[in-house]
Formats: sequence, structure tokens, C-alpha cells
Amino acid sequence: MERIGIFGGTFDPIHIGHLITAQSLLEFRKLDKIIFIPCYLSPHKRHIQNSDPKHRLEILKLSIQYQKQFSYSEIELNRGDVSFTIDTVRELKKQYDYIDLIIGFDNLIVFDSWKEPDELFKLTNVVVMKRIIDKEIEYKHKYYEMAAIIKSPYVELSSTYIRKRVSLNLPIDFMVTYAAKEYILKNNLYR
Amino acid sequence: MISLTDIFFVVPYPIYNKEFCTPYSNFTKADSSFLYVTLLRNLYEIFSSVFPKEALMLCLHENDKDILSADITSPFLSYKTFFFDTDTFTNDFTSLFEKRNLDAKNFIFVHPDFVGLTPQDILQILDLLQIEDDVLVLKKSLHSKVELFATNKFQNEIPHLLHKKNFVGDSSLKKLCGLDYQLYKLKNVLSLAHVNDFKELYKMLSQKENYSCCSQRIHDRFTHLFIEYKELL
Repeated sequence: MERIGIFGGTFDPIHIGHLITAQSLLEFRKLDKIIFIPCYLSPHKRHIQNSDPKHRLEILKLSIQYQKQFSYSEIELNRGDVSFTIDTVRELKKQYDYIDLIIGFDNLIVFDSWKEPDELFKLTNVVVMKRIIDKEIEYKHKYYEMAAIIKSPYVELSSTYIRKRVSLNLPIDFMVTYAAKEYILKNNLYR
Repeated sequence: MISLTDIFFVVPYPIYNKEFCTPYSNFTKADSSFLYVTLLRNLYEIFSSVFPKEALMLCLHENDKDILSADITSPFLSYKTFFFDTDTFTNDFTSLFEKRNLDAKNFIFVHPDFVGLTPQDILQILDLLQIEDDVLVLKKSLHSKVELFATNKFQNEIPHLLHKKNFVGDSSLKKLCGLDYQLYKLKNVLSLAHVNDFKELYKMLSQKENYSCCSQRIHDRFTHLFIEYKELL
């Protein structure tokens, strides 16, 4: 049985921090594959205009091209608008029996507000990435106990920071892959 | 974390002064005032169970000033209470903000016309405010109106977005959300805006799982209104 992990996000753009985290999860959870799923609209930033999905996807493809255990799905981009994770999981369940649903620690805090959280636990293993900077939480709802919380590497880097550096004509070497950097510059993104 | 948070209860219209109080449904002005004050007291109690009283600030309408000062039973008399005039609300609020606790890192703004918030919800909000990013947490009513918002990054635009009548209107919300925050929407609460909400309140408080939404003392105050307006239930 193939063991997959699904890793959602805006990926605007995907950076080295995402890739290091994914690689670490792949090893720690003994997964066969990690599927990156770029969202059309971020549920937490739906009010902010993301870059064209076409560019986000292309940068993602270029960034993971040499890691055969990394893959991607356009499922949420094709759906458009804000996607509910449960809908994505149900779709992927048609293909995969074993799914690790990888989420950030902030998402665990509000997991009880997600659509059909109990169903998500039935269909997947919810794996929470806790970085060294994530503080312990005060309110622990029932999902806190049910989730697998794993220590994840902390790379102090964000997509917002990268976009800002590009807009200021500052280099982004080593923050994104070489191919991603070339694509961003060639297409004049984030200016 | 708790001591680094300031909470503002914003009631930009009179609720204590029965003469100026806007009636709720077919309630008398006196009972409307009783209802609004009960809603405020309830939320104040809930926040008091998590925060020290020094962190709680009441922003009431100018017309409530004399009435509240004369009400020796009010728990708010000795606390930080500020009064605003409708016409100068934004300016007054801005100057209040300039005098705020400079150590405060987090701010919670509450429009206290709702029920459904528990101490656990407040802890959840605080957990979100601890995230490294700039965060905006919203709690809306079932009518999609913002009833509470919290942030770990104060921006000078905020006092200007608190509308004198609607707390945060749709256009203000749009502006607020445009300030590049990580946005979290939590479970909805029940605001007392329409006549059917009173019936919903009755149903809600009858359920055991909602007992943590108010104390017995507050429950008794609501019960008085349920008896008085039983035809609405």
C-alpha cells in the first residue's frame, strides 16, 4: 500500500523551507510520496490577491522536479475559490488508501472550526508540524490529542519575505531553487 | 500573554440610558436596556475569568454616563470606563488608544451584543495571537456581522474602522482584512439583532453544552426576559 502525505499551501512561491520540511516528513513518516497541493485561494488570506495560479504551479513543478518522491496535484487550483480540505481528501481517497494530512501548528489551533474535522480524522492521519518557535497552546480541543504532532525543522523564511526581496531587487539565491529563481526573474513576478 | 492583552468593549450607542436606548423588537425601552446591559455584563464576566480587570476597557456612549454613574449596583463603576460622543467617536477612540497600555501586544475588540463565547474560546483566540505572523481573528454572528476581532498587530487605521453604529461594517471589514493579516474565522456566535434571535437565545441557553456561555446570575436575568416575552419563544 502506497503511503502518501498531502501538503497544502498557497506556495506563492514555494521555497526551500517548504522543501526541507517536506523532505523531513517524508523520512520521519516513512512515506512513499508527498503531494504538494497548491490552493486557489488561501483560507486565511482569501482577502489578499495571490499570484497567478499558473505561475505558482510552474514554480512548484520546477522546484520539485529532481525529487522523485515529490509530486503535485492541481485538484484545488482546478476547483477554484476556497477549497475545503475534506473535499480534496475525499477525491484523493479514490486513489490512495493511506494518507497523512500534513498541517501547520496554527491550523491545529482552529481545527475544530474546519469543515467535518471528525471525518478528516477518519479518512487520514492528521500530522501536525510543530516548529521550535510554535508556543504551547492553552486551549486543547479533542483534536489536539488525536493528531500526531511532530517536530519539524524551522527555516526562518516566508513567501512574503521572498516576494518583498524580489520587489526590492534583492537576491533570493538559496531561498528558492535555482530553477524557481530563474522562472521568477524571467517572468518579472512580484514587482 | 494574558497581561499583554488589552480588551475593548465597544458600545457606540446608549444602553444604560433608557430614554435613548433603541428598543429590541417589541421590548419596552427599559427591558431593552436590561437585555443589552445583561449581554455586556455576561461578556465582561467571561473575559474577567481569563484576564485581570485592568486589561478590560469599556467604551460606552456619552448618554450613558450619568445613568451609569448613578447605578451603584453596576460592576463597571470602578473599572476603566470611557464615554464617547457619537459625532466624535473616532477621534475620541483614537486618543484613548494613544493612552493605551504600551506593553500590550494583543488587542481584542468586542461588540457586546451577543452570547456564545466561552473562556475556552478566549484561550483559543490567545493561542492564535501567539502565532509568529500578523494575525487577525474574527468572530461573526449568524447574520455575518463582526462581533469580535482580535489582532497581534495594532494598526493606526483600526480606530477609524470602528463605526459609530455598526461596530465594524462591511466596508470597514474589507479594509481591515486588506491590512495583510493572516485571517482566522472562528465559530459563529449568536447576536441579538432580530426578533428570532431571542428564541434562539432561549434554545441555546436550554442546552447543557452551552452552560459555560453564561453564569447562573446572568442566566437568571435572561430568564426574567423569557418570562416577560414568552410570546416570542
